[in-house]
Amino acid sequence: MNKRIMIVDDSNVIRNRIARGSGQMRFEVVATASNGADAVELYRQHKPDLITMDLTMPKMDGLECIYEITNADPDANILVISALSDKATGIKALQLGARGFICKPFSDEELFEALAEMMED
Amino acid sequence: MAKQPVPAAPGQTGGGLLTRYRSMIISIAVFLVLLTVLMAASIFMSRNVQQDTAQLYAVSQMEKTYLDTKQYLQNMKLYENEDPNSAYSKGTLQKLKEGQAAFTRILATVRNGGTMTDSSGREITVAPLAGVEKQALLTEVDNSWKAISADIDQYADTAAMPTADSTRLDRALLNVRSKDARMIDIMDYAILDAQNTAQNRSAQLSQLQTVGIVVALAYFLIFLFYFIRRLLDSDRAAQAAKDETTEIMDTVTSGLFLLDKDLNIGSQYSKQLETLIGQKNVGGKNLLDVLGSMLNNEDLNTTYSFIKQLYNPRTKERLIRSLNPLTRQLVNIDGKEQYLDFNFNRVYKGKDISRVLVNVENVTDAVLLEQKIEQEREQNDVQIEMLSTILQADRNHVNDFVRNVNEHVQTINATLKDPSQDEAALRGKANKIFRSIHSLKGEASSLKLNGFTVMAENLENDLSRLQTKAKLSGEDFLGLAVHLEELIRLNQTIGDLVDRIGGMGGTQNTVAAAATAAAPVQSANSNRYAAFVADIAERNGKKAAFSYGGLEKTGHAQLDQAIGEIAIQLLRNAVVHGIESPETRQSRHKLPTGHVRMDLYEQDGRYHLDFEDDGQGIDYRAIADKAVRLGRYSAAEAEKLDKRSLLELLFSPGFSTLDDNTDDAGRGVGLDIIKERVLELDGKVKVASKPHAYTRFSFTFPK
Repeated sequence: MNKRIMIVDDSNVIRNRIARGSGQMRFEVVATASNGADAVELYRQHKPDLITMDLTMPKMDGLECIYEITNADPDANILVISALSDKATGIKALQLGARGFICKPFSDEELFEALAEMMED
Repeated sequence: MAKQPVPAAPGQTGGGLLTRYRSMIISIAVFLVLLTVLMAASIFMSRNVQQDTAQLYAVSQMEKTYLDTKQYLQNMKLYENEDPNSAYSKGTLQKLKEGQAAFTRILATVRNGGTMTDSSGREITVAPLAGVEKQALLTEVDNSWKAISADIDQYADTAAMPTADSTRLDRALLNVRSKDARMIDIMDYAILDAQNTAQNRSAQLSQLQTVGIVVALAYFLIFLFYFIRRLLDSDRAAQAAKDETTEIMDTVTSGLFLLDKDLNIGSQYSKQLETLIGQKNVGGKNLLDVLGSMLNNEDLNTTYSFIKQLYNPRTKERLIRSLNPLTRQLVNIDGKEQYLDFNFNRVYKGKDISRVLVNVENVTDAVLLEQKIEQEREQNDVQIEMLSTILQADRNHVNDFVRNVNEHVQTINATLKDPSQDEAALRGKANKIFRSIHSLKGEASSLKLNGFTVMAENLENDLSRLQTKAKLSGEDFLGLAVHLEELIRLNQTIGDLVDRIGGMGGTQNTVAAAATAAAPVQSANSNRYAAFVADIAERNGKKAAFSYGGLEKTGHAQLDQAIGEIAIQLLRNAVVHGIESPETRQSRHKLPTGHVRMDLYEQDGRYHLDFEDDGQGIDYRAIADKAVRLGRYSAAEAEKLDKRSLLELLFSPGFSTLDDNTDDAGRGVGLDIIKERVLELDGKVKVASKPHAYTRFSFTFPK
């Protein structure tokens, strides 16, 4: 069965890039969200195997969103893909339950490697 | 000689121990078996010895009883004539009967086995005498004894009677005598045999015991020797392994160490680490304490949180590396600035993260190289920009500019070297340097040398900080050197570029030559001013036309230079302060495009320099307000100031009616530079202005 992925980012361009990368790796994109609030709801509905998460978003930011999702499902598999403004924020995301972090801008190769690694158990 | 690691599956940790000590356990087991066998043999043999002793006792007792019985019989014969009812006779007879019964009993015991009481009254078990031959001899004894015993019986039955028959006693004695020698022989033989057997067995037992002890001792010694050697071997191996680690740790060029969950540094770490972090004996110390002197609290906290996340088994090691806060970390080691990279790697034991291996590297060279490349790239950008600017600009003007910069730099250096250190003198210095830089900035801006303008602005910012400082000291000026240095270098570059471009043209070979070249370039000055006005107008959202009349130059170098500086300040003021925005102008029924005019001419033996704009005129109200804001006058005092005093204010250092600093205005410098130049050249200035109509500055300079 194909692995199922959900993409959370307020930028359309980034969402499309991640979706394209996921498709090339034969992951099924089951949902996309442009803000944290939608993401929490969509996660509840789809329970994807992996979520890629931006940190700066309208409505509910990434940190809060990670908190909400891992609170409901401690096994949620979250990869943060965000511009690295300060490392402390990235580490905060890990403390809240994210498992990996890649920095914007990222290369296709970085994206593939990160997605593959996140799907390993 | 590295030891093979023992594979230890979870929950089976005892397996390794069993394998490691197997030979020792076997040795101990063999030793115990040996001891048991020895003890069993010893017990068995001592039981045999006991048995032999019992047999010896029985046969000895048998012969003794026989001899006693024989003696009683002989005694009976000896006292035959005595009263058979005397106490003695009765006692002897009784003893005879007892001896007879005892012998019969003992003989049976010796032949068939049984129990009897030994001399100390203990009951002992006697085994039947072994061997067919011995049994045959015993049968012979038994047969003889039976005959004797029968005679004794017959005698004893009548012995106590008065009619005692002595012949019965005689017959018994006769019978005894005839068999006596043989009986004693046999019994002696039996005793001897039993003695021999007992002695042999005893000897065997003690032999066995001796051999056993010797074997056990030998085995123990071998065992001891073997294990001591093994212990030494494993110690040597451990030492060798430790030596190897030490060699690696001494030789490796990066700082290697292990970190436990509580961020304590392991006892073994590379020697280089001490050099890299400038601290000794860090083994066992907490990493945060060690880093405490290099990082601020926030970075320390981030570092702590990051390492904690490395121990979080849920996070992906490779995917959190970008969050490592200790990369390109600037630290000060023994007064030297260094950049360090701390790389963290998880160390697993089975599936658990047991520790973190940290690798510290000095990346100063790499970082400096990157910075240098970046700097060169920036410099190249600036140079290319300069080049294109210079190619477009009039070369003479650029030459004038370069020369002017050099002169100003000399002035600045002279000012800096001025030894006076009191507060007023220092403030004067700061102001003087500021004016020079501001003037240069204006000229650079007019030539569109943007790189230079930015650098001049950096210097202005440095100086502004000095000017607002409560207390100045000579030290404060040292910081200027860096930016001044940059400025001088850039000026050098501009000079070189002009030089090369000039060289290509073949007319001007050096900056100096260019500077002294008298060949006038037609209307070059006026073109430059026009471009300057257009540029400033565009930047400030104004529309301004520029016209120029009269001489391009006076031919007097010092005067021309001053005119250039004055023009830049006043043209800028005209556009920024004078000309209104197109909308405002239209609302005042004026043309949207303002007009700025500059004239230079000779009249009555003097040079005249006029600037005029059709802007809003001088805003005396704004000057008064600003004077109050700057705290130079109270509101009441400012109210009473006349126009002349307000104009004086306008020409004083640090005064501008605009509050925001921009490229073009607001720094409170400008008119004071002009005042300085005019005074230097012994000139005069008149100001005329009408609200919403015009502003005119008229200068006269002696020839």
